[in-house]
Amino acid sequence: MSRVQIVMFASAVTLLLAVLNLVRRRRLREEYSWLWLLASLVFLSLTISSVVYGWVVWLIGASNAALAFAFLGLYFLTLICIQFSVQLSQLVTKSKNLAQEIAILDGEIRDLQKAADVAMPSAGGELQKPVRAAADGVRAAAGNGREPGSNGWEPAKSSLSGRVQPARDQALSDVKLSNNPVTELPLPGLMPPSSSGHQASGYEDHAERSID
Amino acid sequence: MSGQRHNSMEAFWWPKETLLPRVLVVMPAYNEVDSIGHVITSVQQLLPGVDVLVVNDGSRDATAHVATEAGAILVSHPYNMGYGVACQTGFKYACRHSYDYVVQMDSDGQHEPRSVLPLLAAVMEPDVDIALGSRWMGLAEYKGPLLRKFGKFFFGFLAGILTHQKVTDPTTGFQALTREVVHFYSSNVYPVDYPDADVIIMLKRAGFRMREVPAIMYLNTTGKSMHAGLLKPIYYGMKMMLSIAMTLLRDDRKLRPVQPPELVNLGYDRGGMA
Repeated sequence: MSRVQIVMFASAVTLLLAVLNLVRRRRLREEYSWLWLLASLVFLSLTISSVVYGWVVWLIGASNAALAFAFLGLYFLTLICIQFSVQLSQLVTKSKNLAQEIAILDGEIRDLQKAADVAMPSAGGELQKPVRAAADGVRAAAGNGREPGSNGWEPAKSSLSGRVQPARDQALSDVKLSNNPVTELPLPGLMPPSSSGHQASGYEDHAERSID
Repeated sequence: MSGQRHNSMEAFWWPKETLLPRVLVVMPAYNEVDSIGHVITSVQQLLPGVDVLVVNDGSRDATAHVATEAGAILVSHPYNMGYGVACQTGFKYACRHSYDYVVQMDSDGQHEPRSVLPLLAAVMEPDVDIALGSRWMGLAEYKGPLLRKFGKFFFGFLAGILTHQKVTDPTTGFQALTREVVHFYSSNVYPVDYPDADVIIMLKRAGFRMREVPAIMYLNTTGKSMHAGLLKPIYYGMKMMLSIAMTLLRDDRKLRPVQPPELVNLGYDRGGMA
């Protein structure tokens, strides 16, 4: 065994063990490890067996062994890079789709909150307060309580709630402006159909369109 | 007020199961605080009863606030993702809420709101699936820079050959779509970085019928074009060539979706027309 072969053997074994250990510790997922495992196994077989080694060098037509190893190494690296690019493209598409859905759902939630505030002006938003506090708590907990003073239970001034706040204030001030008896309706679901006057159909329409 | 979304009293009196088509105007917006309010109000004045959706693409100014104040529906991206993604978010919203027609227009005031009417009229005809607003058809108000003219000529020529149809404005972002095209745009086949000539070819190959309609567009006065700089036009040209070549190698007829694929339909669909 030549010295270069010994070095190659040691490197291939180290690589193989490192990849296996990463998979064992769940730092590397199985589906992304197979190309690395294949590469290290090929190198291992090249350094162990002189038959395989001679055959590969002959197949490539390399004048010496170093060239064959360099070629194979580069080729594997290219393959792995392409695999990464494919995965990256999929991830970009997925994260884009996720962000789009979040945006749409966020808009719908805001519309629903506004509709709820308009439907129950007499409550002045009081009825939604516990729900909102809970939602804020969940948001704070989701943010791992990074905001100072947040223990995950009290509503925290998270970035998200900060963004929603103006919309709520707007909705509440809308309600104050429209503080006349006709608009003070109970919950639409609890209302007998006959009591939905024409004057109120605008609000009702809004509430329904948001869900529709 | 809640009623801001509907500008006329007629909008209130429409029955819920109306036979009138529901139209959504999708406006992608990125830091358009100066122009967007005016654009929204003019669209609402011209087309009362039409919903305006502003897709706020991570703006750092008060675009979102101005849009809601003007009575538009607002959808806000959590971070900036680009023009094409913003358009697609609007299309997905339209799918989810079962709109019959969608108009895509810019929020920076480049697209004249009055031109929405001929676009909608064209797309509502039975033999048209998509109406493209062309700034170079008849109404010559638009005089762009030289490079853009060349790009327009080259890709228009290419798209014309490949679709067997005259395409005078391959880079238009002013279009009206039927529900089917909106579903197609909502799928992952839609190229979200530069949806231009390649989309036109893709649509044609997927079997959609398009028509070009004259539309008034103004020069971008603020100067923040998507294709500004030295390297971006080169990249754009290269990417577009690659995209067109790849489009020709695919069979998009198979890709034409029946249902919007990405969003779970939570019972928003009125059924029937899909």
